[in-house]
Amino acid sequence: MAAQFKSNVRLREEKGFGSISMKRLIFSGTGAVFLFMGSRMTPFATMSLPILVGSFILLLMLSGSRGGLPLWQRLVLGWRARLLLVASENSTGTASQLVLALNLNTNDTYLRSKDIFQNQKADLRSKDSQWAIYSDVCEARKWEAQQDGKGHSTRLLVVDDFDMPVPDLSGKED
Amino acid sequence: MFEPRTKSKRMTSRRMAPTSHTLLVDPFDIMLHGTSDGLQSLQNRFSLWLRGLTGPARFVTWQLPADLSPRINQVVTSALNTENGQRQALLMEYRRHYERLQSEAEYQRAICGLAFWTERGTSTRALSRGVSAALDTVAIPAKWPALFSGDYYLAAPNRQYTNWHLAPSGEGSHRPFYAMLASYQFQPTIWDFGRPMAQLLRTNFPLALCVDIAKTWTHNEAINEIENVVQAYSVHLATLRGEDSRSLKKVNDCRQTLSELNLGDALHDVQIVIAVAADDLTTLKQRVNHIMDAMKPWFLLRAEIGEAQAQAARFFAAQSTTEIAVPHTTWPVTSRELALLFAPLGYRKLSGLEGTLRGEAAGANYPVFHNSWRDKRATHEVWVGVSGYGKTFALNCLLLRQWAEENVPFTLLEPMGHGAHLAHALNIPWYVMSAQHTCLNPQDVMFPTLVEQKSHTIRLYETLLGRQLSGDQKANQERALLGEALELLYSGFDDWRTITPEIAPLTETVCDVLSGLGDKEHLLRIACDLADEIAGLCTGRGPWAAFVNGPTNMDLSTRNKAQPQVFSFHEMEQDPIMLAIAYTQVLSAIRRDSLSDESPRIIAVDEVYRLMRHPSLLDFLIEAAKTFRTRRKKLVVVDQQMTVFLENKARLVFENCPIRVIFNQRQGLHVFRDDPAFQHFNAQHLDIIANLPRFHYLFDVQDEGIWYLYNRPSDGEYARFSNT
Repeated sequence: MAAQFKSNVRLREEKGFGSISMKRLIFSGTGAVFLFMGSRMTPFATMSLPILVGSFILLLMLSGSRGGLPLWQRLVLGWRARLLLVASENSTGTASQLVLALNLNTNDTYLRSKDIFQNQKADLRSKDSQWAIYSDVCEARKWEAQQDGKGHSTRLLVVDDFDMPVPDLSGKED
Repeated sequence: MFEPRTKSKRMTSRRMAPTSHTLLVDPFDIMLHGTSDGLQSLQNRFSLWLRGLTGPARFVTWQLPADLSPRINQVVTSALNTENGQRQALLMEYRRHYERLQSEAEYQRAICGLAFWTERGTSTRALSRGVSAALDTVAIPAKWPALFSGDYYLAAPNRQYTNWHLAPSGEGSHRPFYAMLASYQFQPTIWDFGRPMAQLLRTNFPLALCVDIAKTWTHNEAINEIENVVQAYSVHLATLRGEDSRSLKKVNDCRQTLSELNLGDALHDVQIVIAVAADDLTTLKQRVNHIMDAMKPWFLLRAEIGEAQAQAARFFAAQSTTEIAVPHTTWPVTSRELALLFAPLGYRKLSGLEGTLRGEAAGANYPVFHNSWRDKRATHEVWVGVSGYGKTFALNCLLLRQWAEENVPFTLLEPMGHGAHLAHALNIPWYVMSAQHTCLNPQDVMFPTLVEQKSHTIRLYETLLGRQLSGDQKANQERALLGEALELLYSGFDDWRTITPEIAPLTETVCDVLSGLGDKEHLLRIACDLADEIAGLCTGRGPWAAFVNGPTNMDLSTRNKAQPQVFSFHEMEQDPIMLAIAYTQVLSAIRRDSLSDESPRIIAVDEVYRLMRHPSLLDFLIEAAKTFRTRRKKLVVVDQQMTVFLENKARLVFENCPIRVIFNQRQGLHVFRDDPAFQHFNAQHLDIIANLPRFHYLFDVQDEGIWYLYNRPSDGEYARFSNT
């Protein structure tokens, strides 16, 4: 009747330093060293040590997880969505050009119930089904009135706010 | 990472894409599995089914607050439309009752759905049958309801609500705002069927819960994956100088998971997604915070960010997880853990408001309505329960509700005299069958054909004689002679079907005619002996002469068939033969009337055992049960013990009754254990049946479900019937 849930047994999070996992430390350290090495080959060679420290800290921060997502991913998601919103408001502006360049789609910020919720394969009413779902009681009664005397075994389950469309009354077989 | 696939990839995958199948599943009442053994067995059953998953699957529950206003409106409309003042008064009483129920509780309506993605060729119907068998509840292939209607747009955080959300746009922009929350971490705590899912479903605002099973690992893959983790951690721990309690815990968890996998469980990648709705952003914020805080001890939720907020709505449609562009923060769980995430299936909420109020769900306190007239036929009911547990009270309530709210009249046959309450409540004639005052002529015409009529009258004589007129040579000859006598008498009329009770042949006439039959000496002797036997019992000073030798003096005509009727047999309680004759004649009159129309009516027979103990009357009852059903006459047979309905031919009556109403049966529990008709009852059901308190009962509807109900009366019902 009960179960003790376990930690994420597929995830490796070996202890690193404090609350920072070994994985993040290695990632940030490697990233910072690459930047350090790169900076040594540029005119900023004198700044390479601060770059090493700064990028290490920055990478640690960006890989810090909140809500199950690293900070960089949260930032990307947020910025991208804001860009799409701006682009959707002005289809000729810079934001729109940027959206096109990044191969994004402003339609992703709009949800159309018809597109999302009506592509299910199964029929609402099959020949021997016992239920029908309606958006309101009036629709259910209308259907009952139409079925009067036809001897269907129907259990009416009225779902008010989830906006189920009135079904096809022809009773197609699944 | 979580980007949607590119066009070319999508096209390729569409060719190979698995087919989606959606089902709707009727929640059941977890109270009926309420012992620790019952819940364990439920978990095992769910777990066994989940082990068999091969592809992605999804479980969704939609819940929204509901109230009884459609029912109240319906009652008010009926009250306005009826011309019967008494019904009008009763309807207003029921309106007050529903309003009171509504003011005392918060109701929600919920339905559950399952989706599977399989290879092409798998039948949705076959899947639904598999789910029905595994979860022991009704599952049907059906579209899922839409989470919302109209258009929505992605809205950025603002002062009122600091997370991304979905706002309505276009027409009907008064529609609610939505926020999508996704799980990213399951806490190492104990889950059961009550926590945390039941807590979540106790909220009184619209929400939808999705348990997305993105992947079920094959046995070997899962074991390899976890063994690799154990190995890596072992190396880490071996080289570690200090303490790393989390790694130790992880290794223990991995080993525990391995042990469960080796016992047959499967490993599933699971994510919970919750959609919360509110009319304004301030309320949305409160609701989101409430859910996040309430679920924190069990799993952590994040408000989806940016486009993921819009994409997450697709979890509530039949879209494959791989096509939903959100960060998939799934959590690996074993089948026995995942089984507990299906807990919403065990929390039945307010269902349809059509039909008759059958009671309140025990524990959950939502009213249960059931429409047993919906398929244009009647569905018979068997009621059992020991004395004093509320059978009669509940029957009176049911008859009154059906009469008042659905305009279905009834005929009540009862042997105790408590029919007076109903008769007085409805101000209708109370027909009392009395050994002293009532006369019922066995020759009254009750059947449309002569063969049936003769057979019926012979059955009555069999009852009077206390033996069957068949089985051996002499009995067969007696039957033939009696039949001949009746035929002779009926053929004396131009149209025997128009014979009224005033002119129907009397029993003494039958004896006279019978004594003169027989063309051979031995037949003449048999006829004379039979005539003497019947005459001795039914004429002159015979024990039943006054009862059966005379014209019928009770109105069994069709004049009042649109009105409720109550027949009480308490004044002839001492004599089982008279009682049987009286029951049969009344039932025959009802049967005769039933053939003439298809208007719905309830025929309730209390203490039906008194009828069943006469073999010939039992045959009649079996036949009546079949006839009544097709003519929209609902038979409600009531007795104290279920065993009465399961013995020999009485079982045919039982098998014609798809609705079983079971009050306390402590004395006769063995039948529920042993009889195949009750194999769907588990140990908890039996425990409930043995310990049902007064006015509580199990409402078992074949192919629909089992409800544990409390017959909560309205004030009017209580005032009328409290002393039954």
